[in-house]
Amino acid sequence: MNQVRGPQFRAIQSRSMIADQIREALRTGLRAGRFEAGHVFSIATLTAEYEVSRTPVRDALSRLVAEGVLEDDARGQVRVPQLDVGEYENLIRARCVIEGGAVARAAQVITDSQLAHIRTCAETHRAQYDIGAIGEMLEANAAFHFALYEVSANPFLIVTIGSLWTRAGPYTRLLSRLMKTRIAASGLDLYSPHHDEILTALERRDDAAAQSAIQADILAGHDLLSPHLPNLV
Amino acid sequence: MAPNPSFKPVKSRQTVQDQVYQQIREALVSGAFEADQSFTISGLSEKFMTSHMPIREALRRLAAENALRISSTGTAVVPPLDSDELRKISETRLILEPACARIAFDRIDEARFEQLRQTSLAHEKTADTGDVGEMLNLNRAFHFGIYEATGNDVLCSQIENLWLRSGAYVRFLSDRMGDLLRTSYRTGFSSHHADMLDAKQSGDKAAFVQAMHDDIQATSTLLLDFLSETKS
Repeated sequence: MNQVRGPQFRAIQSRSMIADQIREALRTGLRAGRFEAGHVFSIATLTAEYEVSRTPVRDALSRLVAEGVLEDDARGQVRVPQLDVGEYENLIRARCVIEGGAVARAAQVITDSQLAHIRTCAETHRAQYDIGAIGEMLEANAAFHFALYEVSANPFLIVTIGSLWTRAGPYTRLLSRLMKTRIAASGLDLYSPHHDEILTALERRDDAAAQSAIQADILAGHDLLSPHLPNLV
Repeated sequence: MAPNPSFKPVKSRQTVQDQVYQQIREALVSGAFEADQSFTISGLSEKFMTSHMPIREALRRLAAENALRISSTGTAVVPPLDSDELRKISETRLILEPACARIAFDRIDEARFEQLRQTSLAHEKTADTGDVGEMLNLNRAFHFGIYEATGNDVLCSQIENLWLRSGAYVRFLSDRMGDLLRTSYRTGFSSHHADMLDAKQSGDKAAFVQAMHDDIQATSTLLLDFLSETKS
């Protein structure tokens, strides 16, 4: 590399690092269901929020568009894609495959201290559910799931699952709203028994049981949400 | 004989960035680049006949996907080979791809089966011609011909990301293919594909899934053997 160009590249590098950080923050927000389908991202708002210039914000958004996580419309506005039952079915199916595989792997290698940590995550999740804190409950749910997947110590598995959760974010948001109204209206107990089943299977190091319990957990959310999704095709 | 990337100059202004990205990505997946190989932004700009900007952006995207690393001077490097990493890629592939084969099984219609059969035959023939680039392309066409039958683009794109990360390993294997084809590998390298076709024809889903599993496992084992030999 030409010496003269050195400083210029360094400057651009750090700009790209800012863009990467914003992208990660948006990803985390999406995953936690913080953005609604159709939500339009305003460059001005994000620029103010992160106290950066417009360029890294624009970079971060265009990368998420390239990854298929966000989309841009004819006017160049970047937004969260509309919900679509077909996409949702594909996501759920992919989640069952990969998360089922990751948990089966976890059951084979899990240590007692990892198991204790996952049990704590499950208890936090239950506690948030009991007080009706849906947002916190979703975060605790994500923490429980990713604690499980991290047992695999396989970054390829974890990144793959993370990208599915990011794409599923707007669906998660709708699911949480649905749960809120349902619980308020009927006092219905929507708490999934599957987290306990997963823990029991892990205690026994039973990979097949752990796999089917996590798939049942994923499908329970699916069955609740899927009748409420528009069919765009 | 390793596959040789032939980058095309890009024209349409709006999608220059996407086109550059797609072509470098495609070259990486197909094993055109070796581990530790580096390229500079100015070198690639010349090849693509574009300004530095779209190249830099494409490399950054690939770095974010962990397909490349970018040094502080802006040079992009293909990550080094690593047995532990390969084991983890293979573990992930062994979760996704046999499961995909299971979903695809009932959706492979006659036209697709015929296409897979033709691809498999052509793949076998490359052992005679020694065209390793073509061998890799046909192997990929066979696998994705099956995965696409699922109609699930989410699953397919996740698998493609794993193949992207396997590119340098594929290249490493292809460089040894000439020697391999003088061993018993010559008759065995495409046998799992043939097993899949047989299983589909006899309606044996379990055997189909197992053959997919064995195919991925066999390549992984072979590569791990080579990597440990290279190290010692």
